[in-house]
Formats: sequence, structure tokens, C-alpha cells
Amino acid sequence: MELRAVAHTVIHTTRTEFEKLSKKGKIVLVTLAALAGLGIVTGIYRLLVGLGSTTNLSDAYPWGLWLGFDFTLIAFGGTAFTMAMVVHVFNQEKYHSVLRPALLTGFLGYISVLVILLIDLGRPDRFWGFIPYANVHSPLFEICWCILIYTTVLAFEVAPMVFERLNQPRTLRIFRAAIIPVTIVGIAVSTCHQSTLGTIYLALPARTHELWWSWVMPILYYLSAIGMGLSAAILVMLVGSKALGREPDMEALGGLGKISVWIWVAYLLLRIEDLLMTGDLRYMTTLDSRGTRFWVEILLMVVTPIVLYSIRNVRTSKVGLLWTALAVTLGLGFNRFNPMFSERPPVPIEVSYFPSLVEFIVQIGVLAAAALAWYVLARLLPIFEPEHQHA
Amino acid sequence: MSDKTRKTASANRTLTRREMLKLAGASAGGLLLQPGIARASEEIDPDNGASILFDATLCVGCKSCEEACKEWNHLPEEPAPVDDMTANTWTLVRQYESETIELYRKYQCMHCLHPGCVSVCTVGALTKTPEGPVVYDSSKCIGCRYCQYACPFGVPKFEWEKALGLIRKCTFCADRLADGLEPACVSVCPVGALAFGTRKEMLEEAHARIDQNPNQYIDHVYGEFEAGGTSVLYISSIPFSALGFPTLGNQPIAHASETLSVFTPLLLTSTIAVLSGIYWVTKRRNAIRESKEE
Repeated sequence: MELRAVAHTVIHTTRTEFEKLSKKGKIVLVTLAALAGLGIVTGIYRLLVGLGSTTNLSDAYPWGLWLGFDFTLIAFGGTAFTMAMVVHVFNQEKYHSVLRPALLTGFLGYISVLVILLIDLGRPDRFWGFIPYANVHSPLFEICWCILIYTTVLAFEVAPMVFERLNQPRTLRIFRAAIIPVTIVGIAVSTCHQSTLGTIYLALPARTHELWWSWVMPILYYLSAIGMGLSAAILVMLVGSKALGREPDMEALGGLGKISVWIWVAYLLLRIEDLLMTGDLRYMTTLDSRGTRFWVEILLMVVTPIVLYSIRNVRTSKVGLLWTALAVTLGLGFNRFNPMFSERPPVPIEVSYFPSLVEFIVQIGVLAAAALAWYVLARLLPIFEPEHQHA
Repeated sequence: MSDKTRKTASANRTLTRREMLKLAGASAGGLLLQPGIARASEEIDPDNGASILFDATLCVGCKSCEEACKEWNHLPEEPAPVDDMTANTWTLVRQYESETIELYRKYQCMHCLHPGCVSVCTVGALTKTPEGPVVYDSSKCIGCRYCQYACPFGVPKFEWEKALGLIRKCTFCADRLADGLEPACVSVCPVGALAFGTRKEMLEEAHARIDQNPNQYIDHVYGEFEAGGTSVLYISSIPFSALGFPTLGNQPIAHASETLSVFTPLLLTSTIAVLSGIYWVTKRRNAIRESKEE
């Protein structure tokens, strides 16, 4: 009886809230829901029939669109640990308005990563295998553990928003008391797995071209995760504010852009120094598919933010910040995909890879579901502070 | 050819002092006082493990070894002829042509001394046994396929057509070896292109054949040093690149990642320490500033 009443309220509220939206808003939400639904059905189909008939993966290209997107999403979700570091560890109160949207983004990003990993596994029924069976030498073993721990930390960091909404001050106090140590553990675990994503390729010297293969890959992956995290925060704040009809704290967003200039300068110096020292510079002048992808990555992910975020007029403009953050995101996508497809597979036959329709539908479905969940949770939970609180 | 030399350089690169310092700087505080680096397969004495020597000058391409492998391991026939190993074809003989002659190469797992697949396997389903074989425990495998990426010889194959797929590959007939038998492929070779013994014996045999007929062989035993050495060795009359072999350095495939993976606990603890320090300092600075403002 009680349950039916709750269900009725939920449906009724959802309907009235939906009716209040603009026509454009309705179209976006319905499209996201449709894509998510299609993705879920397709994902279940893939789990039932196996990888061979649904994907274009092969023995020559055992990893593809899904793993590449996972690596990209982990860096994008790195916005949570980056903003937690800025606000909680460096105590930069100025950026407090960005923290909760970033934590929610990280939480949903990591859940998306887990869903895709599960769908990509040959034995999804044994996803827990890394818990009883250990191989401490494997970068993927370390990453599995870190993601498990960090997703728990993210749930812990998002939980106060739920208890605040439910008006439970006593439970909230328990979370508040533990938030600093938990956050610091979360950042440390992120430091480990964000850099270990680079170590993944160190184990693949025969499959990773020297434009990417380098002993400093773990450091480059860590720096780019922070750089991405700052731009992801800008992107999420701008799009989220627009969707929820709010004014973003432009001073904070401009400040994040400014910080990220230094991160990308450090990244660029380390990358150039490494390419110079190992003499791999010559490959940069070869504009084949590989050389071109290298330049797209460098120009979008590194050069664009260094130049544009340095310009004051860009930092104070929503359009300027939005396009710069989008460029960084796209460039980082290239950066995370590029090494996977940088060398010929060691098989005696000619094989190429382009994702199948199922791979695209599942991937887009998961991203749409995450965006939809973000919007709904942002409406339900107190993730935005009252606009004038931090005057 | 520049492709090949580059790969060699890539696999040969070791951690220089300069790079060590760079890493030190990044691991917050530079607490890099780590003792020796443990390796996944350090305890194995390579010389006493089982080994196969393939002599490309003797193979006639009869494919008896392929059939013996299928029979012993109960592997189904392929629906159509295949040009690469698959989940159901663990060894394969392929023809290669140079300007002057036709040669055959037998593909199978190289059973590396420091296998990349063993090093990267998330759950430790792959192991290098002291007897020589690289064996696979299918009950642990989660199907992440990292081993496929890590193998420079393209050996581990996945069961793509199954709803719940696993990895399959040559086992070196570890079950036969345990009973004192030769691997199935070696036991049927009608021309003696395959020889079986300890790795020490096979290396001696390989070098003896090259020394006795220096005109017939190139002076290179593939697998003696490649990727830290393999248990399956090859000799040939033409360069190995012409037989489809990758040009690899002498470092184990996962040398770099194993070198760095030992620093993870240190990175974790030092990050926690540094972040706590920064938290304490910035918190105090804010408190002092606030009290001054009052």
C-alpha cells in the first residue's frame, strides 16, 4: 500500500517535472532515454551470444572501442579526484561550487567504466576473478583493485548529498567526520591507477609505437588525467548549469582553466624531452595515419588548452571555455586510443579493425545512460549550492 | 627495415639514470630506495627446462605435426583452411618464399623464459613452469585478453564464437612431458625437423649444426636471446624476418612494466603522506589568514 503510494508520487512528480521542460529539453531527454534503452538491450544481446558475432574484435585486435573508451572515461572521471584534491587537500574554497558536480561525474563515469568492462570481458560471469586470484606484476590487476576501491570511495563522497536531501543530520555528521581521510585515500588510489593505465602499454613494447612507448608513460598518463579532470569539470559545469537553468560560477571555471595551463605545460615539456632524448622525433614528421593521429592528439589535448586558457577573454567566456574543454576531451580520446592501434599486430595475416554497430550502440547507450542519470540526480540531489552562497 | 630496428631499440631500452630521476621526482618525495626487482619467473633455470629445436632447412611442410597436435589435444578441425593459429589450431606450418628457395616455418607457442603473457595476466591464469611449458589454468581466466596483446608472437587465441570465451594455446604437451613423452608434434615429424631435449642440449645442437654447415645456415639461433630467451628455438638458412619472425630485443617483453609495478605500494603510501602534509599546511594557512582578518 505504502509502496504503491510512493510509486504514484514518483510517477506523478516525474510527469509534472517533465511537462515543465522546454521542447528542446524534452527532445534531449527522450533521445538519451531511447539511446540508453537501445544500448541496454544490445548489451544483453552481446552477453548472451558472445563477442565473436557482435563485435569486430579479433585475435589480432583483442581490444577495441570499448577498452579505448574505458581508458578515456577513467581520465574524464578523474575530474572527481582532481577537484577533491583542489578543494579538500589544497583547501581552495574558491572552487567549492565545482566539487559536487565533479564527484557525481566521477561516480557515474566509473560506473560506466565498470559496465563496459563487464560487457567486454570474455567471462563476465567471473568478473570478480581478480579478488581471489592475484598477479601483482599485472598492471590490469592493480587497476582492477584501484577501480574497485575508488568506486567505493566515490560512493562515500556522493552519499552525503543523499543524506542531506533526506535531511538526516546525524548520518551526515558521520560522513563529514571521515571525509578528509577517505578523500586522501581516494586521491592516492587514483594516483596509482591513473598512472598505471600508462604502465599497461609499457608491457606491450612490440604493440606500442615509440611516439607513445616511453618509460615516462605513467607520469604522462597521470598528468593528462589531472589536465582532463580540470577541463571535464569546466565542461560538466557549463553543460550541467545550462541543463538545470543556472548560472555557473565563471570565476571558478576560469581559475580551473588557468591551473590546467600549468599542467599541460609540464606535460608538453616532459613529452618533448622524452621524444628528443630517445630520438623518436623523426616519426613526427611522417604524416601517415599514425603521425597524423599523434598531431591531432598533441594539438587538441595539449596545445589548445595552453594557448586558449591563457587568454583572459576565453577564460571569462562560456563559449570559449566550452570549446576549449571539448577540444581537450576529444584530444584525450585520441591520446588514449592511439597507442592501442599504433603497431601492426604480430600475426601472419592482414587484419584491420573498425568497431561494429553493436560496439557503437552499446558504447553510446552507456554514455547516454550516464548523462541521463547525471541530469536526474542533479535535479534530485543538492549538488549545486545556492547561487549566491559563495559571494 | 627501419621498422625492425626500431622495435629492437624499443624492447632494449632500459631505465637510465636520467629516467630514474624523472620517476623519482614524480613519485612524490623520491623515496626510490627499492631493493632488487623481483621477476615473475626468476627462479626458473632456463637450461634444464624442456626445449624444442625447429630446423627450417629440414621441414618439408607435410603438416603431420598439425594433425598430431589436433589429435592429442582433441581439437576440432577448422571449417576452412586457416592462415594463422586459432583457438582450435595451436600449431601451424606456413610456407615462406625467398628469392631462391621455399621454406616452411612451424608456428606454435614459443614458451618464453620470461613470458609477457604470464607477466600481464590479471588473475595469474598463465604460468611458466620450471619444466619449460607456459601453461594456462582456464578456471581462473576472466577473458580480459591482455595476454593476447602482450604476446609478441601472436600466440594466445580467444574463443570468439562462444558466449563465454576462454583463451587457448599450445601447452608444450605438458601432460605428455609429465609422463616422460615428447610433445605430440615432435613425436611424429618424419624428417627430423623437430628435435626435443633440455634447452641446454638444444642450444648446443643448434650451434653444432650451424658450425658444421656454415654455408647452409645463417649464424643465428632465434630464441636464444630474443625477449629474454624462449624454450622453442629456430635455425634457418634465410634471415628470420623473412620467415615472419618479429625482430625483438633481449629484454623480457614486460621488463619495463615489471620494473615499475614494484613501486606501486611506495607510490600509494608516499602519496597519502604528501597529501596529508599539504592538507595540514593549507588548512593552517587558511586558519591564520582568517584569524588575522578578524
